[in-house]
Amino acid sequence: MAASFIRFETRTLPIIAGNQRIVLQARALQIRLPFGGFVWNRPAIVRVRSADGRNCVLMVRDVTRLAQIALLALGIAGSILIGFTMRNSIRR
Amino acid sequence: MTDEITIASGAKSGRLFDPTNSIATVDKMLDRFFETARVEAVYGSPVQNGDTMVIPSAEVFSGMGFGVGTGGALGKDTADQGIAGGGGGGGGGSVIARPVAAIVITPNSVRIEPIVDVTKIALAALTAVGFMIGMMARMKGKSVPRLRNS
Repeated sequence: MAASFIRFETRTLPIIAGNQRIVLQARALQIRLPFGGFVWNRPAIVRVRSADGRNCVLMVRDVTRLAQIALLALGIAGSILIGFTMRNSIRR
Repeated sequence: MTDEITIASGAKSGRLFDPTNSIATVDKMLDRFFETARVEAVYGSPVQNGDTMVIPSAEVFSGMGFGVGTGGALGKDTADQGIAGGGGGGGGGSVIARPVAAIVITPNSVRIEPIVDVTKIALAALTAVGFMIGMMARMKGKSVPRLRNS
Protein backbone atom coordinates (compact mmCIF):
# COMPACT_ATOMS: atom_id res chain seq x y z
CA MET A 1 0.00 0.00 0.00
CA ALA A 2 2.77 2.42 0.91
CA ALA A 3 4.57 1.63 -2.35
CA SER A 4 1.72 3.08 -4.39
CA PHE A 5 2.00 6.37 -2.50
CA ILE A 6 5.75 6.66 -2.90
CA ARG A 7 7.37 6.08 -6.27
CA PHE A 8 10.98 6.51 -7.25
CA GLU A 9 11.31 6.40 -11.02
CA THR A 10 14.02 6.73 -13.59
CA ARG A 11 12.90 8.04 -16.95
CA THR A 12 14.84 8.50 -20.15
CA LEU A 13 14.63 10.66 -23.23
CA PRO A 14 16.68 9.65 -26.27
CA ILE A 15 17.77 12.27 -28.78
CA ILE A 16 19.90 12.16 -31.90
CA ALA A 17 22.59 14.81 -32.32
CA GLY A 18 24.54 14.42 -35.52
CA ASN A 19 26.06 10.96 -35.48
CA GLN A 20 25.65 10.57 -31.74
CA ARG A 21 22.77 8.99 -29.87
CA ILE A 22 22.23 10.66 -26.52
CA VAL A 23 19.99 9.37 -23.77
CA LEU A 24 19.00 11.86 -21.10
CA GLN A 25 18.06 10.26 -17.81
CA ALA A 26 16.12 11.85 -14.97
CA ARG A 27 15.14 10.57 -11.54
CA ALA A 28 11.85 11.46 -9.96
CA LEU A 29 10.56 10.90 -6.46
CA GLN A 30 6.76 11.08 -6.27
CA ILE A 31 4.73 11.04 -3.09
CA ARG A 32 1.00 10.92 -3.71
CA LEU A 33 -1.42 11.28 -0.84
CA PRO A 34 -5.23 11.42 -0.96
CA PHE A 35 -5.31 15.21 -0.92
CA GLY A 36 -1.95 16.27 -2.15
CA GLY A 37 1.42 15.27 -3.34
CA PHE A 38 5.03 16.09 -3.87
CA VAL A 39 7.37 15.59 -6.81
CA TRP A 40 11.13 15.99 -6.83
CA ASN A 41 12.53 15.59 -10.31
CA ARG A 42 16.18 16.08 -11.22
CA PRO A 43 18.63 15.29 -14.01
CA ALA A 44 20.78 12.25 -13.34
CA ILE A 45 22.86 10.79 -16.16
CA VAL A 46 23.65 11.49 -19.80
CA ARG A 47 24.57 8.44 -21.87
CA VAL A 48 26.33 9.04 -25.18
CA ARG A 49 26.71 6.47 -27.91
CA SER A 50 28.91 7.63 -30.76
CA ALA A 51 28.80 6.41 -34.35
CA ASP A 52 31.75 4.08 -33.80
CA GLY A 53 29.90 2.29 -31.03
CA ARG A 54 31.67 3.80 -28.06
CA ASN A 55 29.57 4.41 -24.99
CA CYS A 56 30.13 7.17 -22.50
CA VAL A 57 28.26 7.91 -19.29
CA LEU A 58 28.33 11.42 -17.85
CA MET A 59 27.00 12.25 -14.39
CA VAL A 60 25.04 15.47 -14.01
CA ARG A 61 26.41 16.89 -10.78
CA ASP A 62 24.59 19.67 -8.96
CA VAL A 63 27.58 21.74 -7.89
CA THR A 64 25.47 24.35 -6.11
CA ARG A 65 23.70 21.76 -3.96
CA LEU A 66 26.97 19.99 -3.12
CA ALA A 67 28.55 23.30 -2.08
CA GLN A 68 25.53 24.16 0.06
CA ILE A 69 25.58 20.81 1.84
CA ALA A 70 29.35 21.01 2.38
CA LEU A 71 29.16 24.52 3.83
CA LEU A 72 26.23 23.71 6.12
CA ALA A 73 27.95 20.55 7.33
CA LEU A 74 31.09 22.59 7.96
CA GLY A 75 29.08 25.12 9.93
CA ILE A 76 27.42 22.50 12.10
CA ALA A 77 30.68 20.63 12.67
CA GLY A 78 32.47 23.89 13.45
CA SER A 79 29.78 24.88 15.93
CA ILE A 80 30.03 21.55 17.73
CA LEU A 81 33.81 21.79 17.79
CA ILE A 82 33.69 25.33 19.15
CA GLY A 83 31.22 24.24 21.79
CA PHE A 84 33.42 21.38 22.99
CA THR A 85 36.59 23.46 22.93
CA MET A 86 35.18 26.41 24.83
CA ARG A 87 33.39 24.16 27.32
CA ASN A 88 36.68 22.50 28.20
CA SER A 89 38.40 25.86 28.60
CA ILE A 90 35.57 27.09 30.86
CA ARG A 91 35.86 24.02 33.08
CA ARG A 92 39.56 24.67 33.55
CA MET B 1 -37.66 14.24 23.86
CA THR B 2 -34.82 14.42 21.50
CA ASP B 3 -35.24 15.46 17.93
CA GLU B 4 -34.27 12.96 15.35
CA ILE B 5 -31.89 14.58 12.98
CA THR B 6 -30.83 13.15 9.66
CA ILE B 7 -28.50 14.44 7.08
CA ALA B 8 -30.22 15.05 3.77
CA SER B 9 -28.56 13.71 0.69
CA GLY B 10 -29.91 13.51 -2.83
CA ALA B 11 -33.00 15.53 -2.11
CA LYS B 12 -33.18 18.54 -4.38
CA SER B 13 -34.55 20.95 -1.86
CA GLY B 14 -32.33 19.74 0.90
CA ARG B 15 -29.19 19.03 -1.11
CA LEU B 16 -26.11 19.72 0.90
CA PHE B 17 -22.59 20.23 -0.38
CA ASP B 18 -21.53 16.99 -2.05
CA PRO B 19 -17.77 16.47 -1.78
CA THR B 20 -17.76 13.65 -4.32
CA ASN B 21 -17.43 16.00 -7.28
CA SER B 22 -14.75 17.97 -5.50
CA ILE B 23 -12.72 14.83 -4.84
CA ALA B 24 -12.98 13.85 -8.51
CA THR B 25 -11.78 17.32 -9.53
CA VAL B 26 -8.90 17.09 -7.08
CA ASP B 27 -7.90 13.70 -8.51
CA LYS B 28 -7.83 15.13 -12.02
CA MET B 29 -5.73 18.06 -10.91
CA LEU B 30 -3.31 15.75 -9.09
CA ASP B 31 -2.96 13.63 -12.24
CA ARG B 32 -1.95 16.70 -14.19
CA PHE B 33 0.27 17.84 -11.34
CA PHE B 34 2.23 14.59 -11.38
CA GLU B 35 3.06 15.19 -15.01
CA THR B 36 5.95 17.30 -13.68
CA ALA B 37 7.67 13.96 -13.06
CA ARG B 38 8.32 13.67 -16.81
CA VAL B 39 11.82 13.86 -18.26
CA GLU B 40 10.73 16.80 -20.41
CA ALA B 41 10.18 18.83 -17.23
CA VAL B 42 13.86 18.45 -16.34
CA TYR B 43 15.56 18.77 -19.71
CA GLY B 44 14.69 21.76 -21.85
CA SER B 45 14.44 22.07 -25.60
CA PRO B 46 17.80 21.79 -27.37
CA VAL B 47 19.23 25.04 -28.68
CA GLN B 48 21.23 24.68 -31.87
CA ASN B 49 24.01 27.13 -32.74
CA GLY B 50 25.97 25.97 -35.74
CA ASP B 51 27.49 22.61 -34.95
CA THR B 52 26.91 22.98 -31.23
CA MET B 53 23.76 21.96 -29.43
CA VAL B 54 23.01 23.01 -25.86
CA ILE B 55 20.42 21.29 -23.67
CA PRO B 56 19.57 23.02 -20.38
CA SER B 57 18.69 20.92 -17.36
CA ALA B 58 16.95 21.90 -14.15
CA GLU B 59 15.86 20.45 -10.85
CA VAL B 60 12.11 20.68 -10.31
CA PHE B 61 10.31 20.63 -6.97
CA SER B 62 6.54 20.69 -6.91
CA GLY B 63 4.08 20.29 -4.11
CA MET B 64 0.31 20.55 -3.89
CA GLY B 65 -2.34 20.05 -1.23
CA PHE B 66 -6.14 20.28 -1.03
CA GLY B 67 -8.76 20.04 1.64
CA VAL B 68 -12.56 19.83 1.54
CA GLY B 69 -15.12 19.80 4.25
CA THR B 70 -18.86 19.59 4.61
CA GLY B 71 -21.41 19.67 7.34
CA GLY B 72 -25.10 20.09 7.86
CA ALA B 73 -28.33 18.77 9.26
CA LEU B 74 -31.98 18.49 8.22
CA GLY B 75 -34.29 19.16 11.07
CA LYS B 76 -37.48 17.08 11.25
CA ASP B 77 -39.09 19.07 13.99
CA THR B 78 -42.25 20.78 12.80
CA ALA B 79 -41.06 23.99 14.30
CA ASP B 80 -37.84 23.79 12.41
CA GLN B 81 -38.23 22.97 8.74
CA GLY B 82 -35.04 24.66 7.72
CA ILE B 83 -32.03 22.99 6.27
CA ALA B 84 -28.68 23.97 7.62
CA GLY B 85 -25.59 23.03 5.78
CA GLY B 86 -22.36 24.19 4.39
CA GLY B 87 -19.17 23.14 2.82
CA GLY B 88 -15.95 24.43 1.52
CA GLY B 89 -12.56 23.62 0.25
CA GLY B 90 -9.18 25.08 -0.41
CA GLY B 91 -5.83 24.23 -1.75
CA GLY B 92 -2.50 25.45 -2.89
CA GLY B 93 0.64 24.42 -4.64
CA SER B 94 4.08 25.49 -5.66
CA VAL B 95 6.55 24.62 -8.39
CA ILE B 96 10.19 25.59 -8.08
CA ALA B 97 12.69 25.01 -10.88
CA ARG B 98 16.38 25.61 -10.49
CA PRO B 99 18.97 25.31 -13.29
CA VAL B 100 21.55 22.63 -12.63
CA ALA B 101 23.71 22.19 -15.72
CA ALA B 102 23.94 22.69 -19.44
CA ILE B 103 24.75 19.78 -21.71
CA VAL B 104 26.96 20.93 -24.57
CA ILE B 105 27.01 18.64 -27.59
CA THR B 106 29.53 19.13 -30.36
CA PRO B 107 30.22 16.80 -33.30
CA ASN B 108 33.23 15.37 -31.47
CA SER B 109 32.26 15.47 -27.83
CA VAL B 110 29.57 15.80 -25.20
CA ARG B 111 30.31 17.62 -21.98
CA ILE B 112 28.33 18.85 -18.99
CA GLU B 113 28.80 22.42 -17.82
CA PRO B 114 27.53 22.91 -14.26
CA ILE B 115 25.59 26.04 -13.46
CA VAL B 116 26.81 27.52 -10.20
CA ASP B 117 24.50 29.78 -8.22
CA VAL B 118 26.88 32.05 -6.33
CA THR B 119 24.07 33.66 -4.34
CA LYS B 120 22.93 30.39 -2.82
CA ILE B 121 26.48 29.38 -1.99
CA ALA B 122 27.13 32.74 -0.34
CA LEU B 123 23.95 32.38 1.72
CA ALA B 124 25.01 28.91 2.84
CA ALA B 125 28.42 30.26 3.82
CA LEU B 126 26.84 33.08 5.83
CA THR B 127 24.56 30.58 7.55
CA ALA B 128 27.54 28.41 8.48
CA VAL B 129 29.43 31.40 9.84
CA GLY B 130 26.32 32.44 11.75
CA PHE B 131 26.09 29.01 13.38
CA MET B 132 29.69 29.26 14.55
CA ILE B 133 29.39 32.84 15.79
CA GLY B 134 26.20 31.98 17.62
CA MET B 135 27.86 29.06 19.35
CA MET B 136 30.83 31.23 20.33
CA ALA B 137 28.53 33.91 21.73
CA ARG B 138 26.58 31.32 23.69
CA MET B 139 29.69 29.77 25.18
CA LYS B 140 31.12 33.19 26.07
CA GLY B 141 27.88 34.00 27.86
CA LYS B 142 28.24 30.84 29.93
CA SER B 143 31.81 31.73 30.85
CA VAL B 144 30.70 34.98 32.57
CA PRO B 145 30.06 34.22 36.26
CA ARG B 146 26.48 34.86 37.30
CA LEU B 147 25.83 37.17 40.21
CA ARG B 148 23.76 35.50 42.88
CA ASN B 149 21.15 37.47 44.75
CA SER B 150 22.29 37.72 48.32
